[in-house]
Parts: sequence; structure tokens; C-alpha cells
Amino acid sequence: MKKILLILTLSLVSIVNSKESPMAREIKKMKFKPLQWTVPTVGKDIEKLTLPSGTTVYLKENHDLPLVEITVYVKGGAAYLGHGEKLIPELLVNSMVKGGTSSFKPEEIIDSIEINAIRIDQRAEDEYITYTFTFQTKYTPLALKIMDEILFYPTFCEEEVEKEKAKIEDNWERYIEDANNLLNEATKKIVFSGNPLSTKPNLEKIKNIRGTHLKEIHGLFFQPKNMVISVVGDFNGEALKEQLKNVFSEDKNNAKELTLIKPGELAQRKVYFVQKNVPQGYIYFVQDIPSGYFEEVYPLILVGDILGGGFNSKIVSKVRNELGLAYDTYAYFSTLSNMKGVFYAFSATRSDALDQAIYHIEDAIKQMVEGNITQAELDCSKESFLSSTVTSIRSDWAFVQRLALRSLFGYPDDYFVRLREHISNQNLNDIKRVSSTYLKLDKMAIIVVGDSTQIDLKKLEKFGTIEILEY
Amino acid sequence: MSILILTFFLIAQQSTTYYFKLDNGLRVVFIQNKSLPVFFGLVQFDVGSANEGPGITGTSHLLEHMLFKGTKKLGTVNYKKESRLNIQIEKLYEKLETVNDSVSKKALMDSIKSLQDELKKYIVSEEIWKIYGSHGGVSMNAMTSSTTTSYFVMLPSNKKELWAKIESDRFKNLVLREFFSERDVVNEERRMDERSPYQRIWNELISTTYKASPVRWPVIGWEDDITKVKPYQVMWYYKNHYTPDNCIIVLVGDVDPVKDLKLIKKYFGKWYGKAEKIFKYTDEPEQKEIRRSEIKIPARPTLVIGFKGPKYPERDFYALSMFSYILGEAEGSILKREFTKKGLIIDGETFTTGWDGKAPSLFGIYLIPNTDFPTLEREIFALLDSLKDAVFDSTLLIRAKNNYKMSVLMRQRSYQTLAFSAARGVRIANDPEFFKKELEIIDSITFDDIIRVLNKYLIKEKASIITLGR
Repeated sequence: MKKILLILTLSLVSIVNSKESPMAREIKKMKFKPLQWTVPTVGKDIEKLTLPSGTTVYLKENHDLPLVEITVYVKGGAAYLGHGEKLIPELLVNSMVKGGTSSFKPEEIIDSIEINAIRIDQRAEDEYITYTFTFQTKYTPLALKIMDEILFYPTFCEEEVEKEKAKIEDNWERYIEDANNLLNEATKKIVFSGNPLSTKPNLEKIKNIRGTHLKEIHGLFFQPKNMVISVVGDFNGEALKEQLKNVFSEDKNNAKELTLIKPGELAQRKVYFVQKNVPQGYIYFVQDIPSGYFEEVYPLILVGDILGGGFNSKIVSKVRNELGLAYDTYAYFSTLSNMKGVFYAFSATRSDALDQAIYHIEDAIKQMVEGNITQAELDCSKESFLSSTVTSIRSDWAFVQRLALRSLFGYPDDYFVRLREHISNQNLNDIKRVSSTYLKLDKMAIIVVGDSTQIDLKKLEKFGTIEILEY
Repeated sequence: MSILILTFFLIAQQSTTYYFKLDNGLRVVFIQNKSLPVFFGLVQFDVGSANEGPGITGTSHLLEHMLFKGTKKLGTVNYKKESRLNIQIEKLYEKLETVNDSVSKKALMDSIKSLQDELKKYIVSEEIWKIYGSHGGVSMNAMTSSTTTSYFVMLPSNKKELWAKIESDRFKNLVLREFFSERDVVNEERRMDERSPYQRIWNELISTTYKASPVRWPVIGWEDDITKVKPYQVMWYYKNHYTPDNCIIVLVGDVDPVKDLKLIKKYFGKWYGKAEKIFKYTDEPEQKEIRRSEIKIPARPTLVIGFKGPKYPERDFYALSMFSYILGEAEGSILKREFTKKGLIIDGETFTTGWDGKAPSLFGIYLIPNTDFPTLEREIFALLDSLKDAVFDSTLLIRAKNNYKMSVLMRQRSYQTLAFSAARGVRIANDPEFFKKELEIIDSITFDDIIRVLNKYLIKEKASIITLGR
């Protein structure tokens, strides 16, 4: 059924002015009983261990439902492969499930999974792969056996690999038909230049790939030393830990090491235009920032929030609320990477208003850089973060996964505990300093996807030299 | 290794459900689970795009946007002054529709802009987001479907009164603030939808399959209606449908049924009005011929075949759902195995949509061809015919039932899905735990049921066939 979603995470709401309605004043007078609750802590609420093989495991027992969920995060992905091999990780992870294992023929493993309603969700991201196994407690031994087989003993039956290749090629063609996806890929071409993420998939290469080649890549990525696991649900901790030791055992490591080609830096302001016959124009502002964990990830969260985090942020309030130019517009800092972090600001608007949208996004960024940020904006942003600590946890199931994924990128175990304290401590000067340190308008690239018969490219020249980008 | 078949499982009960009905007709459900000091609040109205009609398509969704703009005391610092300006702006927009020359149009637009600038002094833009955000609200969403409109947010459990105060005010006292600029935002949303070939197929499928039922137009509405709908039409729609007897409230999480019922009564008890049930869901006439539609755009080829099925929640609907899993939802389904092996498709999927029982259900087969359309179409109907008297492998039904139950179990991990499931149960069967009865029905489905629905509904002459690409 068609559903129209107006999606907004309110943990990222900020304020643009200090006007208040009568209702807001009434609410200010309301008294709320304090909550007795603290952020779950690793070592106390969540168990952490490192297996002899090097695999890090986070465990949280939760006996509300007879369910167990194991999520395996694997370091690996297209960023670690060769140019033109962008689609191979997806082919790899799908073929691992469908292409049979040393103990199961392809159809047998699918039948065992489906008859026992074991859910497996696999995904290949640019720099990591995830496998999530969700199953009923009583099927734990079978689920662990299946997990072991899929992760470590896939056989890549050629017939199944061929089917997957056809699907992946078709998926790619469909994906790139969408202007938003084209914008994402064109942006990667600019941001990750030099790294394989920047190049288009070579479909000939995909056509010629064989199971033996997939096996080699599998051997590179799927080593326990490259893995972090989250386990949540209805299990017996001691027994499960022993079983996990056997699945993620030392002998499954090898001498292969992952290597990453560092992408080049974004050094100059430029507008990249990609032609696509669509009724809207799609815009990304992008800029390099540091990656992984660093002390200023905390103020950067607030900077992103005030700039383009929620309905009252600078960008959304101007571009969407006041001018009605866009349904979807936002900005944020992405740091979960081993290569580079990236600042993104996005909007999609009608072709004749493209230059207006770019102008107002740039103006909002400029306000941040020049320190045009009010105490009220900061207070509201901080308040929303601090008061949503408990709601953003959502559940054990989601929280332990977030913890495990961050650990793959070097985030400390007490990140979520410290988040509260660090957000509280930020003052206006900190936010102004961090904004001017990390937002560099002269080094921002602007990537635009749209129809040049509808968009006046001359109007875009004022934002930088225009380069037509082929994709 | 041989296939392992283990036994069925029981759905665990981790939460306790309470169901009340207030004197004004408002239905209230509490699902108590105290594992975190938070709650998920859902307010759902029994109205969606299927309640619209020609000229006002998209109104349910536009109204959903307007519900975030506030009331006489929320989102404004001076409602009286603001409303005087709003009346002037509305009149200018009306005039704008009657002028044709660009000079007059520009003059009117300049006047509108100047009034809108004046208006800004009084509007507290998006204040509802700000208030919820500053009190720890997350996952604030609104969702419009063909049959329902839903508003929800997750908050710390000490903020229930705040939630009740805001929600009761906005559902009782809406004003159409920033109406014209929001109409533009919705049009941008529609344009985003347009770019998707999948969305185009879906729109074509429903408009081809249904000729009388109001589920046949897109939820977002037609461009002409979105662009021209007037504030008074939207307000009329709101007054007729946003009434307590048309509303279900579900609170999930750290709730206390006694205390929280008092709170709901305090804030929603004096909400009056009755939904005007002047609207009738037109019954679909019998389809007597194959219907076809081609979308000839440069896109990857796709073939979709739709059939009208039994109405939800008739028993046959569940039999058809089980068949859907067996035919094309699972990785080991007949379609995915046999048709990919034969090189007929690259991939395929089946689905059923129940429309909450307000129209005959829709059973769809979505295919990515690896051959030409006519060959694939022929093969699909040959397969369906062959299954109409087939002896199925008994494990196929076990597999379908186990996976249905697993989905129910997994849904219980999320407050949001629990809340939606309870609201649907209340709407369909006046029972927030209707999913338990559905599990019993699923358990009782046999292959005889499946063969019966196959023969009754999946008939070539009653198919709607959509092709895209090539």
C-alpha cells in the first residue's frame, strides 16, 4: 500500500527564534517527574569480550521474547577492492547465502532457513558488510550452524552465482535510473577520487567473474579478526560465548590484510553538473572532514543539527518552510569511515528554482562559518539531544548494534555515555569555533543532477566554475 | 545435509493490552511494557485517500502536513492578527486564479509576498517539532495511506501529559496556517514520486485494476487537485473526518492504564463531533476482460500482473496470502526457483494488499523479465493453471505459516509496529489483539483453501497487466 511518510528524527531539532505561542508558555510551566534511568554501559549492562581470533563481541541478554539476533559487522567492501568492482561485494554477500556451503547444497540451505523461519539480512556497504541472523531461541544450534556455514564455508555454486550476477546488473541499471541515486554516485566520483568507490562498476568485469574469484575476496574480508558482533536476545550467555568461540575461531584467520587506497582531497570550489532528464534538480554540497572518532565529533553533531538537522534548522526553515522549495532538504556530518569523513547538505527542488535553493543553502553555511549562531539555537539543539537520550536508545536490539558498528570505526565503548556530558558542555564559542574550523566554503564541491534544458546553467556559474560530469 | 524441520512456536506475551472506549466514541488502547521509561503515542484516523473524490484527491495527505502547523494557541503569537492577514492572502490567491496576464500576476504575487512577510511576525514556524524535540521526542512521523492517517511520536514516559495537551489541541483546533506554501511543498513531494518507475507502475496498476473503488488514485493525489484545492475544502474534510468516533489512540511502553486513562479523558474527553458517514466505498464491478496498460519510457523492463482478490479479513484473504508466500515471496518460492532456472526472469516477487477491507484485495506478481513480455506472460498463466489442481509439497505451507508467525514475533520488538497492529485490529475487528485471531486463521489454512482461491480469483480473464520499458 502506498504510504507517504513525513520522516523526521526529532532528536535533531533546533530553534530559529525565541518567539513563543501561548501553548508553549503553558508547557513551560508544566512540571515533569525526573526519570530514573542511565545510558546502558559496556561492562555493566552490556558484556564485551574479545575472542582469541580477534573478534569483538557485545552481548546483551533480553528475555522478553523467545528471539535471538546476531549481527556480524565485517570490515570490507568496495572501498577495499579494485576499480570497477563496486558491485562485487553485493554479489559476494548474496552468493554466500544462496550459492551453497560445504555442508548444504544451495537449495538445502535456503530450505532450512525458510522452513525454520530464520531471518537473514545481508548488506554490503562501501566500507563494511553486515549479516543479521534473527531466529527463535530454540533454533539456536541450527542457526549458529547455518551462520558458520554461510560466513566461513560458502562454495559459490556457479549456477547460483550466474543468477545473482544477472540480478545485480539489473539492480544497478534500475538504481542508476533514479536521479537521487545518480547524485549519490556522481558525488562519490568527486569525493572519493582515486579510491575504487569513485569509479562506475565495470559490468563486463561482473559478467566474467567466477565463484573462484569470489572465494578469494571472501578470504580477504571474512576473517574473524575483521569482525565485530552484536548479540541480543533470549540466550544463555555462558553457553553462547563458547559456541561463538567455535564459530569465530582463530583458524579462520589468514595472512591476508585489507588495504585501502586513500582518496584525494577536495581542494577547490567547483560546480559539477550531471545531465538527467528529470523534473527536479538534485543538489549536494560536499566537503572533506576528519573520519572516525575524534573529540570534536560531539560539537559537530550540534553544528550539523543547527545547520540542517531538523524542521527548525537554518536550511530547512528557509528552503522548505519559508520558501516551499523542497520537500526534502538537510545537512549532516558523516564520520563512520576509515578513509575520510564528509559534510553533506542536500536539497531537491524544481528546475527553475535550483539556483535559489543553492543560494540559500550556501547562505546558511556562511552564517555558521561567520558565527551567526544564536544562543537560543544552541540551547534548543542541546536540549533536544539531552532529553532524547532515553528515547533514542529505542531498544536493546537497536542500541547494541549501534555500539558494535561504531567500534568498527574506532569509537570508544563509552561514546554514548560521554555523548550526554560532552553535549552539555558545549558553549556558543565552541560551536562557532568548530563551525569555522570544519566548514570551508572555498573547498566545498557542489554536485547537481538535473535537466539542462530546464536549468539555466549560467545562473549556477556564480557558485563556482561549472564542470560537466559524465556518469 | 538434509532439510531440518522443527516444530511450530508460540507467540510470547511480553506486554499486557488494555482497551477502552470513551463516551464520545474515542477508542483507546494501552500496551504496557516497562522495559524502558518511554512510550510511543499513536493517533490514527479512519480516513485516507480512499475517502476523497474527484477535485480533492490528495487532501488527506495535505491535511496531514497541515496538522503540523498548529492551532489558535500553538504556532502563533497572535492568532487574531495572523488570521486577518491569512484571509487577505487567501483572497489574493483566489484572484490570482482569475488573471491571465503576467503583469497582473506579478503584481498579485508581490502583494502576497508582502503580506506573507508581515505574517512571519506572528507565526512560530514548526513549533510543534520544537516542543517535542526539546522534550526528548524522536521518530515523530505522520503517514497517510488509502485508508488511514496516523500521527506518532516516541517520548520519555514522564511527558505523557505534554503529549496529550499538544495532540488534543491539534486534533480539536486546527487552523490552516501557511497553507499555500505547504501546498507547494506537497507538489515537490509529488514530483519526487514521479521520478520513480516503481511508483509509476504502482499508480498504473491500481488505476487499471480498480475502475470504481476510490483506492484507484495515488495517495498523494493528482497534480491538478493538489495545485487547486482550497482552504475551505481542506477544512471541511478535517471537520468531517477528524472526530473522536473516527479516531483510535494507542500508547505503547511505560504506561499505566488507570492513570493514563484519566489523562486521556481529561484532554480528549470533551472532544465532540461525529464523522459524517455520507461517503460510501463504491463496490468494484465484476471484471470480465483482461486489462492492459503500457508505460513506454526508457527504463528497465518490468511486467506486473494484478488480480482482484477476496476482501480482507475474509478467510480466503489469508489463503491467498499463504499462496503469495509460496509462489513468489520466499527465496525458495516456486517462481524464484523455477522461473529463474528456466531463464524466464531475473527476479520476481508477489504481494497482497488488503486495503483494510474497503475494496477487494489486490494480488500482484511483479517480474523482472529475462525474456520478452508475451512469452513471460504466457508462462505465468501456464504456471497458475498448472497449480490449480496441483499436489503441493507439504513443506511449502509449513514454511509459509512459520514465516508469517516469525513476522508477528519480530514485530513485537518494536513499539511502533505493536501500536499500528493494535490500531488495525481495532479498526477491522474491534480487537487490539486481532493478530492472535489471525494467527489461528493462518494455522487452519489448508491446501484445499489455496486451491479454491486460486481457481476463484487468479483467472486470466480477470487480470490487469502492466508493462514498463522497452
